[in-house]
Amino acid sequence: MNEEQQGNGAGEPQARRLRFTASGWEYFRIWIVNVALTLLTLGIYSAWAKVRARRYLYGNVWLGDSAFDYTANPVAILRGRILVVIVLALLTFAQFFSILYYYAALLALMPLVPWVVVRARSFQMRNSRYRGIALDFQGKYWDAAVWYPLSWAASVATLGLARPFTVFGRDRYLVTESRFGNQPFGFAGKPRPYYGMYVVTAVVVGVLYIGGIVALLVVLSAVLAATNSNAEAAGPDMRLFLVGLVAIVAAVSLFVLAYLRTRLLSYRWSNTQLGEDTFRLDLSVTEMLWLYSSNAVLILATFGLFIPFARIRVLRYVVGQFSVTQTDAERIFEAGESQGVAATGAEAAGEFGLEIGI
Amino acid sequence: MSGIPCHYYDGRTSRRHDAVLALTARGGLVIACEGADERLNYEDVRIPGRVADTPRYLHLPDGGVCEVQDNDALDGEQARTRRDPEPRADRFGRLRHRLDSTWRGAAAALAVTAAILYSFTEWGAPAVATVAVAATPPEVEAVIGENFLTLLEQLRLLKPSELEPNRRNELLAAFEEMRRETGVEDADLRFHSVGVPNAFALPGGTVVLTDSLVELAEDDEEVIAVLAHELGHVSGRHVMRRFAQTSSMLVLWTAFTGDVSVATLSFLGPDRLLAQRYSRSFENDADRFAFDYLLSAGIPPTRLSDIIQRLSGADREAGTSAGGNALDWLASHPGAAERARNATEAAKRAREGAAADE
Repeated sequence: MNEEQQGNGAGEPQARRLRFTASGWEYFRIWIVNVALTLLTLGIYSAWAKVRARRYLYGNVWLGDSAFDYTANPVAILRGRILVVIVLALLTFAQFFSILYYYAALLALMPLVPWVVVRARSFQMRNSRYRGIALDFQGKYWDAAVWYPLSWAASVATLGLARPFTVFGRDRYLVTESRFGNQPFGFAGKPRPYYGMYVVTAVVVGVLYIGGIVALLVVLSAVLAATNSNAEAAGPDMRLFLVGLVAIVAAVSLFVLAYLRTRLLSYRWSNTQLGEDTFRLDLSVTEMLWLYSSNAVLILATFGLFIPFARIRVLRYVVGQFSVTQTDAERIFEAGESQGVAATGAEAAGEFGLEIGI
Repeated sequence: MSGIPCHYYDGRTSRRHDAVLALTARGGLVIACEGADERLNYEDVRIPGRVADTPRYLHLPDGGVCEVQDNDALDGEQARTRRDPEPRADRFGRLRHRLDSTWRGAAAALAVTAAILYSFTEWGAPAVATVAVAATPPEVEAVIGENFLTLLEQLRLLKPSELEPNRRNELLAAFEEMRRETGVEDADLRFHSVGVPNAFALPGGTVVLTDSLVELAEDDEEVIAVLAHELGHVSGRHVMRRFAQTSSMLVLWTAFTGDVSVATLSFLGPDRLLAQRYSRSFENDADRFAFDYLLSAGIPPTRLSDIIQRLSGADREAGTSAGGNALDWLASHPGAAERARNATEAAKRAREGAAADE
């Protein structure tokens, strides 16, 4: 197998694919035990559950003959989750008094967003290891402020025209502030392809919406004509219309999920570098569309029991499409400075495992 | 000394060294690497619990890492030297591995999950709903009901009634008497035209009666029977209870699936079943309430089942002609035959009670 090839000196670049060895049934067992223990402990176990599931997934991703390692401390994740629950509870509470308080509270939380972004990302990176070397993220608060809350405002102010550029900026920020050991990642992406992806998305979403609603109206008028347009029969038409609308929204979200997310992820990774090493992620939009839609149907049909299998299916495809090109497969990376901190005090206080939806 | 082949990383570089790991009977841990032995205290090494068959990374006190891929060999060495399998990390690691690596453990977890979900559905959610409904001030409930009624009118799902004012006044008087007799003060009756025979209760105590239902009824006794049933819903505050029960189920379901969007997707199936189940128990409650009132007013309880049977016939006709009605879900009346049986039994019990009194 080509991924087993050992370093044959510099010069000849070697492309190696990642391998994913997880099995759906094995992950199902881990998942269902996690669910049971989480329910039994009123949610407290969820932090341990997360670490165990992650350890299983990371430990089944192989580059060459080493697998990845996830080292997060569940207590840190639990602390972060308790904090999030408290904030959400306060927000809900504020809503009861007045919607004004709610928006005031949201605004007051805005300055925390960049902090949360930086903490969450560095927590995730520092706890991911390969060959004993941790990844790291050293992003600054103010850069995060520019690429998160301020760029949201810019997108809104420009009616979305600035959106592709801000997504480009965010990707560049996230990649270039990351490191493997003491080696920073580089980013070769350009803003223009982001505009291309967003234009395609906007056009297809527009066509889906307009075409869907026109088709719906045609069907409705046909139904109306068939039922002899009884003045009292507004009820069934209304329901048909709502069902049609939900179907259109579902189709649009599925497309955005499969197309935009897939293209963004592929582009970001394919333009990421680590020194002289390059990465490539070739995801097919139709394959992702098939995976997402069939997973949705199966999850629905099994009352949720298919969830672990769905996750493994997607990961198996995505990880399998990932390759690393190195001039020297046995290149030696050195640990970063922060790893010393992490190693001596893995349980260092103040490390919040805050999670943001990914 | 037998040993376990492993890989050693010093934690400063990603350089990989082939090594051999061995445990000694006296509590030592020896890593033989490139001719040099590193002797450590077993208790100082952080050995994470086993997750399926993923490689385990033993964290050494100096920041180094020892990667063991042969999990069975490590388990065997620990058993042979009678060492606590997780001296510093993952206290319940072995128990968790035993649970999620065997089918018996997974089956137990599945059973526990099903039992918790079932008991929450059966007892937890209704209890939560009782507390939530008791905590909701009647004024708030009235506002919700009023808003909902306005919405139905604006959507033109409810149209003004075309009943004779005299007929309305007769029914209003009967409803007034019913209110006085049963002591359900917060209730009022409204007449509307929907195009199908229907009656439903809204939050806050508004009962809506449709013209077609009045026309479908053979006499006033049948209309009163239906109104008594709806007053039963008002008395039990069933609409609010249903809302509180379904919401609390969704929260639990989120814990089950671990993700809000997946939860919503996989909840669609169970939600329909639950709605049926809860609705059936509410209908039975309302029926009991109606039987009691009808008996006290000298009306046979079977009058309720009579009109229900005719209603379900009318529903079926409406269903085939116009695809059902948008208001169906407000007044789902399952099991017409079962309810007829209940009505007959209530009448029989009343007769027996009367016979015993003589």
